[in-house]
Amino acid sequence: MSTTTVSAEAGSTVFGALRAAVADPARVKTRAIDLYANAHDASHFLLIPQAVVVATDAAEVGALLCAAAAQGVHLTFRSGGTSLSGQAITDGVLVDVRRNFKNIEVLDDGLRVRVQPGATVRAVNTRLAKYGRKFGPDPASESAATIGGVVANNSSGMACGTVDNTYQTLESVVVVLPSGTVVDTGAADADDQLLKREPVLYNGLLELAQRTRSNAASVATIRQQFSMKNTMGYGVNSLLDFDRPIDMLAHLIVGSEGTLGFVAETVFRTVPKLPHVTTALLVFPGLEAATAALPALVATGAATLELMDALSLTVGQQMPGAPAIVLDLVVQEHAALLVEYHAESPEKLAQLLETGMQTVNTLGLTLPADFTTDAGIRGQLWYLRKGIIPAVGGTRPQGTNALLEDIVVPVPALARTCMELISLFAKYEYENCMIFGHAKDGNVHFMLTDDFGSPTGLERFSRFTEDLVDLVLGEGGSLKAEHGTGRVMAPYVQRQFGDELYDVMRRIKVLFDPAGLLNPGVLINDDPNAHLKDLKAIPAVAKEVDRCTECGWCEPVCPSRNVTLTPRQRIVSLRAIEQARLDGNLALMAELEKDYEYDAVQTCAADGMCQTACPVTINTGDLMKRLRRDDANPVEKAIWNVAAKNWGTVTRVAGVALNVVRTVPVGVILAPNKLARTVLGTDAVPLYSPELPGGGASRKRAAVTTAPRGRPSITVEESETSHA
Amino acid sequence: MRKSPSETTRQRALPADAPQAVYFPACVQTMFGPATDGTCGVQVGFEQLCERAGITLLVPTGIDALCCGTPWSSKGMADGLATMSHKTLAALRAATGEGELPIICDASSCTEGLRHIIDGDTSARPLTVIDAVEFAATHILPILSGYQKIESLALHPTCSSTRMGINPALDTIADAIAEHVEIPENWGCCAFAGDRGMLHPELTASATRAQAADVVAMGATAHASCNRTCELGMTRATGKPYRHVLEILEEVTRP
Repeated sequence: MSTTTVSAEAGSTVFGALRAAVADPARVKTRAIDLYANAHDASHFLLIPQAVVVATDAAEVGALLCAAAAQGVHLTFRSGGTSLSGQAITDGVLVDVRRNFKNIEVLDDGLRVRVQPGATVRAVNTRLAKYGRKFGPDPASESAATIGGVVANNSSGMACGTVDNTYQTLESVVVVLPSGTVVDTGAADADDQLLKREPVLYNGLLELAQRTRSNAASVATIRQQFSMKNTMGYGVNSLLDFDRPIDMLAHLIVGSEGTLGFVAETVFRTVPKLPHVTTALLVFPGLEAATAALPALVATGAATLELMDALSLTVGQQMPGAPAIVLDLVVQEHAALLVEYHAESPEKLAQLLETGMQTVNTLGLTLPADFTTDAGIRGQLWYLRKGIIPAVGGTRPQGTNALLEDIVVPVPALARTCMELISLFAKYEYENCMIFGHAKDGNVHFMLTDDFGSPTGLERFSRFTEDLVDLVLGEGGSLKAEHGTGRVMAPYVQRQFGDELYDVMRRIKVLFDPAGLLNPGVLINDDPNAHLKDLKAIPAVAKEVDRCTECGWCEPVCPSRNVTLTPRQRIVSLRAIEQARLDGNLALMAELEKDYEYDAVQTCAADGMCQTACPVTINTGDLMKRLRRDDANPVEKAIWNVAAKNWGTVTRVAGVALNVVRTVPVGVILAPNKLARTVLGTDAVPLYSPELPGGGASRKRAAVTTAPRGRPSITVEESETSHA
Repeated sequence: MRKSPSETTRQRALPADAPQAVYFPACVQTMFGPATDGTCGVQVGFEQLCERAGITLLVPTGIDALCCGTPWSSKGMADGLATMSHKTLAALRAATGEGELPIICDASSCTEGLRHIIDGDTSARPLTVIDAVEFAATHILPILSGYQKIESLALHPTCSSTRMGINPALDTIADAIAEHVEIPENWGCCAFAGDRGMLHPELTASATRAQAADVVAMGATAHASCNRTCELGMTRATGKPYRHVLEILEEVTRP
């Protein structure tokens, strides 16, 4: 793990300045466990921040920007931490904008919605559901991905394509610029205000628009590139699509990956949630047949066309609750398309399906198409599709890392490109590279697993990437369709857009952020080997969690997420401890271990909610319980064993005690109670509180309890246990 | 006026018919009594419902000394867990006639805990455990009729009810109780986690802050969950008395 640390003296000045910028200095966190637990996002990169700051509002972020500028440190904003390209990590100051930026305000009966960056896509959709509306972008990580990242990456997803993505559905943003200026692009006089307060930026944008519009080659490149999903470089289509600098600014912020400003609030138009849906998994004999069917299926008006290759299907078979059609398949060279039709009425849906089936019936499927409106089966099909990224990552050999690519080519070139990709996997001897994704948009993902940190792994990845770039750009495609440029493709922005447009992009960065304060190294990076540096090491730590890919899906459901750590943070901190041990950094190891006991072990509720969200069904609580077992002192262990032998007495005494306690003033109980917690430990002695009820009664009953009246027969079906 | 639970004696003549299910009331209700004085608690409530449905239950002999093992499991106390699992499994095998009868448990975490110790038990014919909520939705709800629903119910599904996939049954019961059922938008596990909420009150406080605000804003007529310690956690967070959903069902449908 690489880390850049400021000297202690410089550090204290920097930290002092940051603490002065926030209302509560305790929100600037610098313990080792804070830094290492928060360092990780879902990418294969890792940098360790110098401090983690939990910000509360836009004004505070403005103050942090000023403090950072004065101290010469850089800031990176982090919300859900589900991004995959290395855009949400830093060796500067990491600003957590998830915990306190959760507001969702439904406007105009759901036609529009105002959202803060910390709200998840799922939370927004939950609020919109009763209005029959939904959020446009629909990333597979919707349960954990937050609006901050959605805007920063121009997120799209399965169904939204380039029609209802972030760029298209955004109405206005409130942005904090690196200068500290707060701009609400939705204000009536916003354009005038921008001219008045940021004249250099305003005029610079006008100049860039003029320069780009007057260059026929630039216009042609932009139109071609942004006819596809595209998150490479800045969204320079803004310079063609809008005339007012304020609108250019709003749309350049989309997909800027935290390098131009902080998005404190966004207003989106929503899209109709078409209530009638039918779904089928179409199984083809091979990848070529599946991709070749795409143009015809797109023409039927399918809302989604998700591709899964043979390996994806094999991995899917091992996921909990996999759909029957996948479980029953003996997977050979097969490939599948998850097809869905959406409509506002059952009649409309029937029509769509009828037309669709005319095409489907000509496709030479391996199994008959079985469209269903059954919510349970549809849920299984989508769980399969959404869980593939992390699940494939979870099957990788120990000690290797998973890297997810995200390419797009024009749909007619997709079949050819996939075939070429498979030859590349063979050429570089990458195994288990499944191809899947949003075939409707010519956008597919594939995962490489390797020990990228080893010299051979790095060399192989470097050469493979060069070939991949040649292949995708040769087909007129884009190297990142929806995951963002990040660090992994920053060195190739220039090759994809050419010198002129790359220079325009560099100029955009300088106009917004002349001091390079925000997220340096991301999106624009002069180092041709940036994608080969700061790669994450994943040492083995515990069998319960070693398959964790750090995707972060567990975080929103964890009850300790706002008080100490999340499941992902528990796992990555353990990995940091192990890495420190391997590196011989015993001081760091000790420092991390000191805080791990309370932050990770003691404050885990062990409720298993993380497992319900985990695509590889890790129950981090199981590991925490095992660590408790290993930690438990022998006396406590023996006492609890005696309690097990005498449980009737223990429960009765506890019940009686609660009744006694209720007859005396609370203070009389609390003083000795708190003393006992001080002496014996807060993890061993419960704290009484006055709202607790009195004790209960014995559970004992006469041999048989209720009086029978007839005998209805009781049949019991084994209930569904999602993670038995 | 109803008797308080300590005054209620459930002694009755041995019925002629054999029991149809084994009932495993959770031990938490011995330690923590009903939410408010004058309410009966889930055990008495569930027994009343079964009586109305003509369902005969058998509570295992020695129940007061038995537990699903979750307190030991979550504290990492392996010896104690082994001791308790052994005792409880032996009692359940005897009571169920080696797995002939299903086992019903009235606290979702304990239902899950029982399933865990049963999973670890390879020696006998597998025992089947169902949660009282699921059981009531299938076997009791259909016979209840002619009662007045209450206006509104704030519902707190638990981590265990979510993990076990029984939230649909919980919703069904809740819908039978109240005209309007609402789950807070910021719902999440309360993190009371047996006694963890008492060991580390800051954990439950943090986990419940947002949903407690939702619940208070709802101003519901009644508040329900399906696990006694989660009910304690939510009561602490909201100041509203949370009770087991079946206890409320019994009260609302009482003839």
